[in-house]
Amino acid sequence: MLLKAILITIVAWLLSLEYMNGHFGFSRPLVAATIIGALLGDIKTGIIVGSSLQLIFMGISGVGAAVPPDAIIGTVIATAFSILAHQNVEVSLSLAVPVAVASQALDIFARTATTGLMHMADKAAEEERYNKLELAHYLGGLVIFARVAIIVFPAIYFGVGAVENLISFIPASVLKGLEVAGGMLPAVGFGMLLTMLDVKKLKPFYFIGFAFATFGNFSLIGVTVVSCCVALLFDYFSKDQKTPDNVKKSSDDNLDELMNN
Amino acid sequence: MDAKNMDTKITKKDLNKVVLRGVLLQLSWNFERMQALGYCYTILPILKKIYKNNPEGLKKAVQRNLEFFNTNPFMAAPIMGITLPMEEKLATDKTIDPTSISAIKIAMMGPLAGIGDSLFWFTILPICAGIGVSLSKGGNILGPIAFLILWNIPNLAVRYFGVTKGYELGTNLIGEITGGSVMQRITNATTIVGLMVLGVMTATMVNVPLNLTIGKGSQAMTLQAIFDGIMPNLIPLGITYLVYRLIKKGKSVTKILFGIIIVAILGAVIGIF
Repeated sequence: MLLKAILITIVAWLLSLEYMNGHFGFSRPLVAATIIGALLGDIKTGIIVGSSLQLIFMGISGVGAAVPPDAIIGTVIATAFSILAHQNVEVSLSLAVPVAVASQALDIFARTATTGLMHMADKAAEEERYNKLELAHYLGGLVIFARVAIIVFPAIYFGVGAVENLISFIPASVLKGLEVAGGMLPAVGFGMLLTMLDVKKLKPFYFIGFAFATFGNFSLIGVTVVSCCVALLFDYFSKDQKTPDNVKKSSDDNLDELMNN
Repeated sequence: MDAKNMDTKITKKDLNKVVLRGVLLQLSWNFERMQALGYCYTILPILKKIYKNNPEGLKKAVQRNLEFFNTNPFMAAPIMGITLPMEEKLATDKTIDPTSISAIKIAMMGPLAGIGDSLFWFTILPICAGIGVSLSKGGNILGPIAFLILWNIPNLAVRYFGVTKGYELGTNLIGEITGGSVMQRITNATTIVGLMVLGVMTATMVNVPLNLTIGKGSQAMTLQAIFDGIMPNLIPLGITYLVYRLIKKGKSVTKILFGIIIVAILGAVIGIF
């Protein structure tokens, strides 16, 4: 278990680095859970947990200065619990949310601490020691390691047994409730995305997409194709009517919001 | 062009270095100046080269590029690409005011953050992830793989062409994008696609199975059937819209997450679900 805990801590660190740097997609819940699953010898469970978590954390991305609930740590813990404690997926999902929130609090602390590195870089520039400036930048990776290790290592090393015991005390109706919550939580991600795409004039397009899927049984890809055509037509007609001023006004608010976030 | 000038000219190889180092843009992200150190780190090899024979100029350029900077991480690439020719010009013939380089960085980082966020985080990512999730039913490895491939095409393209093409276009593109309504049109178009895809996902990916039965015997009707009679997926739509309203009113996402978990548990205890 010690080896597994160390291994998962290191992988969680690498995924956390990749989440902020490179954005190649490995740290997205779908892939991260698959990787953790593969490491723990149950890739199939990893993929299943990952695809559920992907929906919940869909709308949670680092936008502007906002620090989102930590999807990676949540994913790593949920996947590890699913496999090591043989827990069903929905229960692990609900366990992941509080862990993600705890990790978020730590992340805010870490991002404040990193301000010290900024001053180290200022000093390096003043002294014209540019290797030291690069070192200050690299040290940011160590700060991330510290905040990941504090949460992940104990959770894996001590946590699985404790969580197993805890779960045996939980009444069936509460477990059922956690399962239901797993189905409802994607709404949070979608609600967040809606606030990001908050252009009053364009709001009907959300309901058009909803209606296509609800009444027309359109697939996601089908609606994407339709929406691209609609976007092009909208662009063509709004140009035609010479209303760019109105359009600009309504969605400048949105851009301002994004910038201020 | 003599040997001395060739020595300090930005080459394709130098730009590739910027693309590679740009991967680590946010390693030292902090609340004070956000991506500033990462930005400086990324273009440092180029600054070192163009100020090879001018240590005092290099020091000033480095300090100037340690100023506050923050944008969508993908969009940092075109900003670097476009401002690097200006840095080069400043270093070689000083015909550019250094403050104008900072001004352009600031002018571009806000709007491009908006475009980048709505394009990558709210349009491309949900689409790629949605496809990945729908392919991974039952633990199919195809899902994660498809997601990685689909997502990295635009990711790598913007990282690479943002720097190289941005460098080519130089200052011309700035006037083209921020001057006209082109940027606004791009934002509107991506918002439409994003909203429609979001509508589909609300309908297909939020699940609230109601289990309560009303009435007895042959008159019995499940609550689910009643809601479906009004409109299928009414409850997922309602919950999503409620969350949206709450976030808009400034309620914290954390509170909403816990609120939903509590409601779900209470509902299960009472027997609604």
